[in-house]
Amino acid sequence: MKNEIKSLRRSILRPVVAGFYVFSIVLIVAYIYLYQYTPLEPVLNDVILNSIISLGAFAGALISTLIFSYYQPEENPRRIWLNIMIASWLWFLGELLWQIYAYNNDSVVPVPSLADVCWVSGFVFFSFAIYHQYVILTPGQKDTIRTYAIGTWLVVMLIPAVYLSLTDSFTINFYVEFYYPFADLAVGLAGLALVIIFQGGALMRPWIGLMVFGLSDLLYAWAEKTQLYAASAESGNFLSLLIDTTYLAAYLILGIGFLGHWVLLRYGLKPFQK
Amino acid sequence: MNTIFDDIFSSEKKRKPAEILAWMRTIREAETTGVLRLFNPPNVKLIFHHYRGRWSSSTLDPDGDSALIDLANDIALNNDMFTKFIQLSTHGLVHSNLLLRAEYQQQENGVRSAELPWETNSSTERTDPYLIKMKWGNASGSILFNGVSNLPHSLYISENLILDEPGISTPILQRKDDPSCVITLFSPDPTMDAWQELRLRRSFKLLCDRMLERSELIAGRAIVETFTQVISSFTASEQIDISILKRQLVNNEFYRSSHEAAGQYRMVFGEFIDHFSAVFGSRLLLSNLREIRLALSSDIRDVLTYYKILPDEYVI
Repeated sequence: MKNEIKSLRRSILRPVVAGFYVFSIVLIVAYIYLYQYTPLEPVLNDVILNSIISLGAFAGALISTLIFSYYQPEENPRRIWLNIMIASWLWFLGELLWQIYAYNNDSVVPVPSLADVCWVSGFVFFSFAIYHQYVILTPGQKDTIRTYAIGTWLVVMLIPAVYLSLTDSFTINFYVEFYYPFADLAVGLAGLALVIIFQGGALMRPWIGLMVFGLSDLLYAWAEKTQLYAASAESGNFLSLLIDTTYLAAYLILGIGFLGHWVLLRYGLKPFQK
Repeated sequence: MNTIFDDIFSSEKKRKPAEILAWMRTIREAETTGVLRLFNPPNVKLIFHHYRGRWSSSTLDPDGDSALIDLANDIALNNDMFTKFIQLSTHGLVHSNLLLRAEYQQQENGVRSAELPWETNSSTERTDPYLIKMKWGNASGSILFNGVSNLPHSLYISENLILDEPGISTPILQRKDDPSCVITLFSPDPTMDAWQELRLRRSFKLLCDRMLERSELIAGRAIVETFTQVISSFTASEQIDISILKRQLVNNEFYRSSHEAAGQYRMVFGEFIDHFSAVFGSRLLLSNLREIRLALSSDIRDVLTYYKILPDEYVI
């Protein structure tokens, strides 16, 4: 733990990391201010709010691409980062498409839309990344890991389908909305397990980001599904602000996690001061 | 006892004590590594190992102390001596030290050339190291077989040619079947510290190489490269000649004893653990190290355990 604190302190001292922290704080403060006070004309205000979210997603996609470029084709971690990179770009594309839908349809976005296709595909690629990470850690357990991965995906897809069928409310719209919390939970838990495995090590950083993203998106999906979010947004309640800001923060934490890994690859370890 | 350094070639002259002392001073000042042989038949025969100019060890004739006294007397009495200095690599010095100690302390087992494997690469399946000494009328040679995945090392000394190289030297291969060739085999003797030091050297290298290999599989080359840099920077700051080259440990240190080696390995390995833990986390490092240790052959595990190279929590 002491080493990790030293290592964290060292990485924060890097100008690029300090710059990213400042960038994140500026985005969050601007987001909260625009969200709460709507100082601009509403349409422009919404465009800027949505752009801030897209910018957060873009940062993660960009850094994951930089990390991917560090690995040679024969290196194991390249398979992980190829999938993380694709997933991150898909999520960024999802945010961008959602923003375009919202702008064109007066903030009403159809479900499912192309944005959902991107988000769902993003989950698939993140699952591949997590699968490859586990296989690299325990190559002897490859078949077991594959079975667990497929099993988890089946559970995540079947639970909403079964529940909606039993309650006679199955529509593709409801299915997609139900699917997200389970996918978030699965990704969040897989990320948490990796954080525990890499506990105290620099390699846990990207997975902290993914875990936080999964859990925060789960919060959003739950509030959305229970109508709490809509009710709160209408009344200008603190809850919707908290949920939306957490969503932005999750993208930024994902980016910070990736950045931590990039800093390790780019600058390496520094000798400990004994 | 005949050692591979005993031959007095026709070109050799006896040197005066003042000259010998000056020579020893030069070796020290130039920080040269090699073997200095002083010979004043029939009384004095001493072989000194110099590691970077420092007198690291010497073969002790059956009565070592008296041999040193004889040397001092010879110098004091102004007796001239046949003097030869053979510059060697660190591996050559390790090899020579082991050979000389084996020659003095172990029983020599004569073998025929046909009984020995002559692989010039690392393909031999024999895990134990062993040593063979060859003597021709006018030349001597020795090969140290380091066991699986390590190249053998050769020494060859004749009047006009001194070889100290990895693999099996060409003159040795060419002359191994000469009728005049007398071959002696030395197997590891657990009671001899030089053999123990060699086993520990191999075991430590194997442990570190496996760790680096595993790290590359998990984290990729770039991260292993950072380990290389921080470990090398640590060893350089401690003036330890151990580095990592192409994800393999390169040990260019010479140790007076296995315990001196163990002390240094523990220090270097502690640094490994600090940095690996900072990247992989202590939990993953623990499980990986335990796996790596269990995958090593039992004799290697025993050596690492005996010398406490791994901290206790990794030895379960």
